[in-house]
This record gives sequence, structure tokens and C-alpha cells, in this order.
Amino acid sequence: MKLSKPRTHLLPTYVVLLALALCPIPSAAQDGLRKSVVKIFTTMQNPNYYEPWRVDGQENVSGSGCVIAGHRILTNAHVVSNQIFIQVLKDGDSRKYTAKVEFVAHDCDLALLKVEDSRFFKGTKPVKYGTLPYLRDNVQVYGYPVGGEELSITQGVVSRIELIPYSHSMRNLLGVQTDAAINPGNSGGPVFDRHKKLVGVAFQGYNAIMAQNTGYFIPIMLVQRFLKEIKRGKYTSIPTLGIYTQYMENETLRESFGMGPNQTGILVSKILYGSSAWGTLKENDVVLSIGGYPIANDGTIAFRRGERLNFQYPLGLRRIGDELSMKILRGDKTLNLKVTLKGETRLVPLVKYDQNPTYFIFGGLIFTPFTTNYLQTIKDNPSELLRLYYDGLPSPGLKQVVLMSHILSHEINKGYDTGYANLVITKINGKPISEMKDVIAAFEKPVSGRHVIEFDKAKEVGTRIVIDAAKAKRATEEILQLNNIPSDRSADLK
Amino acid sequence: MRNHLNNRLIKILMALFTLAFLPACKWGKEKDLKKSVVKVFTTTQNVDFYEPWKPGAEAHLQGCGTLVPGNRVLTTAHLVNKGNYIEVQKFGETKRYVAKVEKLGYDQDLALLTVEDKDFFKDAETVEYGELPHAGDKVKIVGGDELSIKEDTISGLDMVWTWEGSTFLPALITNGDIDNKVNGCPVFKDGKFVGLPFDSWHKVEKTGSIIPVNMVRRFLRATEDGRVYGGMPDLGVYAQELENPAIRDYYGLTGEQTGIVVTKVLEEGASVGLLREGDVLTAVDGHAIDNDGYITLDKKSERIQADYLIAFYLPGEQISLDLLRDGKPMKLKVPLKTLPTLVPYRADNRHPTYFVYAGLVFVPLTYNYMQSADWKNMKPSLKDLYNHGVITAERKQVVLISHVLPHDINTGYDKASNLIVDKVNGRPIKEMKDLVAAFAAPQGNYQVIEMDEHAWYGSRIVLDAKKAPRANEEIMALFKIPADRSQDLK
Repeated sequence: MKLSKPRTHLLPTYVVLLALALCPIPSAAQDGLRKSVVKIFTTMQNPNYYEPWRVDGQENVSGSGCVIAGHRILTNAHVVSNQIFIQVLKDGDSRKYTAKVEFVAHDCDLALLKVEDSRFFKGTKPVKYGTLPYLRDNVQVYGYPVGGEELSITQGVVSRIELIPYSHSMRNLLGVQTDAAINPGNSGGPVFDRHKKLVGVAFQGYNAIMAQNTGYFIPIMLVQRFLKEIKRGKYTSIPTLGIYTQYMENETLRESFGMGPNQTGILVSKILYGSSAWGTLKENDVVLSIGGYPIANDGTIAFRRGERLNFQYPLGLRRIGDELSMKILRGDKTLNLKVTLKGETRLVPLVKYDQNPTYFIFGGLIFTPFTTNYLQTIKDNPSELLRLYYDGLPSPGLKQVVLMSHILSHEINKGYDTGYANLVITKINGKPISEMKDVIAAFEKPVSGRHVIEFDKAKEVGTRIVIDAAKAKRATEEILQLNNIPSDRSADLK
Repeated sequence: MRNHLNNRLIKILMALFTLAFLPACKWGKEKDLKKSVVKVFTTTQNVDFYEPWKPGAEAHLQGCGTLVPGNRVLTTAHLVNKGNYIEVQKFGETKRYVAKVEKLGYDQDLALLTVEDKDFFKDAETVEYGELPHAGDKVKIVGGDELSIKEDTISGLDMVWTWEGSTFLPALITNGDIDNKVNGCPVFKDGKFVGLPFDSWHKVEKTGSIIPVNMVRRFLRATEDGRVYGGMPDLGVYAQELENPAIRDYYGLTGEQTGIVVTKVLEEGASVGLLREGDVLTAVDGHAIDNDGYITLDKKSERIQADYLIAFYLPGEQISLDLLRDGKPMKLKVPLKTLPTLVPYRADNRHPTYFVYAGLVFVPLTYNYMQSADWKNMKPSLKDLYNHGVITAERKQVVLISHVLPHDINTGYDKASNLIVDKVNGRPIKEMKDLVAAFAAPQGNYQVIEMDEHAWYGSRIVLDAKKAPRANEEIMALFKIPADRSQDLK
């Protein structure tokens, strides 16, 4: 991943799929489980966020999966994201079958595949669901990691259970750590307990330089939530609260908020505009409990006996539209509130898959929303964009950051050299720009025969791009033709 | 075998021949040049901006200097600006002489040293100042680790950023790469001194940069008659090029008129109250400004950024500007001054500002600090302030909680790091000295520190005001901190 600051929980770049080859531990006694495991071959075609009208070259990846009841295959979302063609191969077979994505949940990195040809499922055995194992419980990981062609089975124990950053979605969700080897290619493969029941889906490892014997799997509860969600016919993503919080381990801090010696909780330091908490919670509220779980001063809630998890854990099992109860301390009053859960409200959205980038080209100027995908695509990371990525907050007047990404050269835009790139657009023809559709509307009304595009990069280049309105339409057509660009805008803006 | 031997013999003979005759016929002039080169040795102490109360490790620097008229040694400021102890040595000699910094132009990267022991100047020859060379001129760079003479060609005059990016300086650019070992050594053209190599960003492109002789003259003028060096002046505005016909039209330029538009007038800068956003600068000092911000110098029609003209002024001197305001031509005189920066870089800063309260370490954000505290892992927002932050009425310095020295009193805040402080006890913190007054006025029993910038960390730190003084003492004893604040805050 491009972004290289292992700094906040928002960007878990240090959790990457690891590249260690480890010897599988074959076990003849596991024949029954072998019948549930499949290898998945995916051809991906990734969109290009810098030149959004074209796609990058194709890429072939492989992963693992398991057969579940109803003739479906469960795997990771990242094994099949941006896919254009998928094939599956069951253990002991030589024929690959074409598969299609039926549902995908990028936030919890799960996907469900179906195979049209029902012969594929002959001889397969759907997995049985278990429950979340405990620390030191034995688990076995089935799959097709790098280092060979045949099925690999590794085993180990559960070494840690906590909220971890999911590298595919950058969300913080419950993950189970194991010392069983999990390597590239294991992704999507089943993890079984000693009762041969599915307890999770292998999905990521830890950077081999920083740690060894740390693989992660998605716990069974998130798998079951996913399966339950899609029974409604559509996957609904995991909600977020949309608050920044501060832990209250310091006694003086608690005292200054009027908390008694037996009260514990965490402080709300910021609420994102339009988020679940917006309008219900207030800054400087102390959250005492969430979903009925009392929150400790370090931001944890009691889970199973002797286990504690971050207070955001309950959100991982909820759905958008649910109500979540919270007990808060506001001033000297204790209030019971209900928060209606919503999805992500970041100013710069987290990484997206299976979508085409949004863009609009006018007079050779390429406009695109500032997204994590865009940031990952560009070569240099201007500090003002990184600042927006980390600390930018949405507001009623700013729904997304609209960038003038770069310029396709033409007579009409001469003089605006390569420095005119990654500009955060504030106004066009006097109209404030809060989202992409504002750009299109603003170009409809030039001022005194000119289009005036405003931004603030005074130190490096300036504050305005002005182009001739009379020539702009014609120039745009010429530029599109010259650069083989099929359309001046993405499909979502038509 | 025989043949081989013969060849070798011939080679040796030829070498002897060359050695014997070269000095006689060619050495004469260049020998003089070498007599004005000196080695400069500096012993200095590194400064740790992360734990500013700690004396840093000793460091040794070696560089080059030039003997200039008045029996002074001219060298780059970077070599000596932190020097606790400086020695100079003539080439070909083994004796070192103690030198002292007499004049320092940090932002010009120039320094003038004196040597008390007059013996040093025996046999030494001071250089003769020459004229500014032009593109295509051949120059000789004399000096280096072992005394060497390197020929190079000037490719032109340009504006370059000093290596830490704090000043934009005129420089002669060479065709070839210049080893930084020769920084401070004299550069000659036709036997006359025309400049000295220094480090700049231009180096990235495999060229060398030389401080031109006219900038040396500026430095001498800036320090003559006991004048204290006052820094490089700045117009205090940001400006945009106007190359596109539509944007020229938009800003009211007609026909053959050219210029650049003022996009921002910086607070605390020279042009406050004189220039306005939207003014089009058409000429500086009578030199017309082209649409790309360049001017044409009189001689050989060399083009360079208009900033070049400003660089030769001293703070307080006036520069004349021609401009278009609302389409109407007018003339202005702007008294120039230096431009303070929000996140400064001063390599010569040996006594960093800090304040420790209840284990919270407060420092102003500087580039030096960012280097000490690991630039790579520095928060993007702080890097962005370094890149784009400007001084305003609300913020003269970025005051940070750098890190926390753990103690009972600050339990739970120990992970605070690089947080921008907005307020202490309700008082806005515009600069470091505001902290001292604000902590003297607690809110009841509490010392309340508010940070808004990085809400994901949290927004406030509350400390027990009664326990704080005692905790301060304990922390200072435990972490061996001699004083709770730097000298400048006392």
C-alpha cells in the first residue's frame, strides 16, 4: 500500500498480506473437511483513479474458499474484488468451473459465490458453523497458499481476539489472531476448530518483518452476520458511530467532568457531520455505556469471561438503521439516548472496490472527488491532501473534496503547467463546490465569457485558473478525441 | 617481455619529464590561487530538539574557506554557524589557527571569520573580487579534500532554494556536479574570485550551485560599518503567473502588457497595507516582469525570476514596483523586510525553546524539531503546516505537546504526542510565551489544555492544579531536566 504512516486506526497499512512460505501440515484424517475447500482463480481489472476513463491491466490472483449450505462458496471480498472472471476448483478435481459473485461485503472482507453448473457441488460437503473459539483453542486453516499447488492445512492456536484494522476495508472490526500459518493464497479459506466446525475465514497476515506467526481470521459471528444480512437480498454495510473519542484514564479528567469514583466512560471529542451520532450526541458528552455494555475508562467493554474488547465491538454486529442505546453524562445529567445507526461519513471516503471512478473533464481540466483510491494512485502525496485525508471533516458546505487532478494539454489551457495538479477546488464561476455535481452545474454559467476556477495553492502556483468560455466546449471535444477518451464524464454523472 | 619493459620505461620517463616541466611553464598563476584557500574545522554540539534540555553529542565538521580582502576568511554559514570551536588551516600547512565568527548571514549561507594570530596571513594571498560570470564562462573551483583544481562551465544564473528550503537565493549554476567538500572554496574566473559553492536544491539535478560574487558583496554591505546582519528581505506576497490569455484578460492586462498577479498578501510581510490581492505586478526596479514572473537582466539578456532583484536589497530599503490595480497603472515603493515563517528552520538555533509542565513537554513546531522527532513519522498535518502555514494574528507559532514524561499526574495522557495546543485554561496560545501566563491562571483546581486540531486523539487534557507543582519537581528530578523552561521563557 502506498500510504506509509502506521499512525492512526484509520489506516492500517502495517497489516499487509504476508509473503512467507511456510510448510503445510498434511493430515490424512481430515478427509471430510477437504470436501468443503475450494481454490478460487480470479481475473481482476482495477480501475485507474488518475486517468479514470481507462482501466489498468488485468491481474490474476488466487485464493481459497469453502462450500456452505445452499450450493454457495464463501470467500474473502478481496479475493474477488474488481473481478471480471472467476473460476473455482474443488480439492481432488481437475476441472475448473466458472463462478459469479452473488454478494460481497467489502467492509468485513467476505463474499459469496455461486456456480451455475450444479455438477460442481457433487461430492462437496457444506461446512458446519461453530462458535468463536477461546484463547489457546486449536484451529486448523485450510487453503491454497503460495508455495505449492495442492491443499495446505496448517494448525495452531488462537493467540488473541480483539478489534483489528481490516486491511481490505480499513475498518476496525473483530479479528482473531492465530499462530497457524496464514499466507497469501490462504485468503478466504476456512478455519475449523477441533470439532471440525467453521470458526472463521482466514484473511490477512502481519508484515513478516515486524512479526512472525501472526495470521488473522474473520470470526464466525461476522460470517453469520454477513449470511443473515444477505438473506434480505442485499448486503447492508456495518455502521459507524461517527465520533472521535478520548479515553478517560486520568482521574483529574474524570473529576473535571463531574464523574463519581464509580463512574467510568469515554469522552466525545468530535462528532462527524451527518453521522449516526450527529444531532444526538454532543461534544464533551461522556459515554458511560453502549448497547447495554458499560464502557471502562480505557474504552473497553466486557466480552466473555475475562475478555475485554474495544467499545466499538457491538457496532460490528449491527446494521444500518438499527437503534443503539447509549448512556451518557452531559453536564450533571445522566441521559439514556438512542442513536440511529448510519454508514460511513468520512470527508475522504475509505477505499472502494467494484466501482468506477467519478470524473468530469472540461477544457482539459480533470475533476474528480478526492478518495482513498485516488490517494493510493497518485505518485506523490501532497501534504495538504494527506492532511485532509487524516483530519478533514465533512460539513454542510463540504460533502466531498473535489480535486482538479491534472490537465490534458491544449491551446485553451496553455500556461497552466504541471504544477497545476491536485488542486482542491473551492469555487467555479463564483459557485461554491461541495460535491462533483456542483462542478457540472457551475460550468453551465460562465462569467463575462470566462470560466473561473478557484483554489488555494497560492504558495506553489496560484489561486485561479481562467479559461475562455467561448472556446471551451469545442476544446473539450478536441481533447477527448486527441486522448481517446470515450466520454467527458463518468456514467454516474450522466 | 622486453617490449613491455620498454613501454613502462617510456611511461616513467614521460612522467618525470612532465613533472619537471609543468611547474615551470604552467603552475605560476594557479599557485597564487591556492594560497587563498583554507581548510575550516568546526567542533560543534548537536542539539536535540525533541529533548531540548539535553546537551547533544559533539560533532566535527570540515570544510573550506576563502581568504578575502581585509584578512578575513569567507565560508558558508552552514559550516560554522553552530561552531563552538573553529580552526583554519592553509593548504599545504599542518598548523591550525583558531578562528572566530565575525559576521554571519545565515539565510545567505555566508560567514566571515577572523583569525587573531597574524602569522596565519603570512604567505597567504587574499582573492581579488571579480565580476559576475555569464553562461558559458569557464571557472576554476580551487580546493577540496586534497587541494585540487576543477574546471567547470557556468550554465547560467538562477534562483535556488537553500538545502533546508528556507531561502530563495541567486546562484550560479555549473554544468557539472560539485562535490560538497568544496563548499566554501573559492571559484575563480580569469584569476578573480567570482563565488563559492554551497548546498542547494539545485544539486538534485546533478549540477552545482555557487553563491555569486555579487551576493558576497551584498553580505559585506549588510554587515559593513558594524551593522548587524538583518537577513534576506521579502516582498511578503504570493504571486501567480499569467501565461494564459484568458487569465490575463481576467486580470485586466491588455495588448502587450505583462506581469504576475498577487494572490496573497502575507500578514507580517512587507506589503501589508501596500499591495492587494488581485494587483498585477508589471515591473520591479524598472525591469518589466514577464507573464512567467521572469525579468530580463541588462547584460546578455539573461532571464531570471523577479525575486533576483529583491535579493540584493537590505531590510528597510525600498523597492519600486509598477502595478495595475483595477486595470489602472500605478507606482509604489515598498520598504522591504524579512518574512518570519510559522514553522521556521534555523540550523544555528542552539538553545531550543521548551516548557515542561507536569510532564507535558511543550515546544514550538520547527523544522529542526521535525528532524529530531523523526520527519518520516511526522503527522501530515504538521508537515502541511511546514509547507503551507503562514503567520496570522491568531497564530505566531505552532505550539505542540511534543510528548509526555510519564508520572502519576499525567496517567492516561502518556500517548499524547505532537498535538497542537489551542488553549490553556481558556486562553488562546498564539506562541510559546503565552503558555507561561496561561498556566499561572488555572481554572479552579484544574489546568485545562485544549487541542482541537487532531480530534481523533482527544480534545483536552485536564491536570490537578494543586498537585502539579510537586509533580513538576519530581519529574524534573527523575528525568534529569535542569530547568522547566528554556532561557528565553524565563
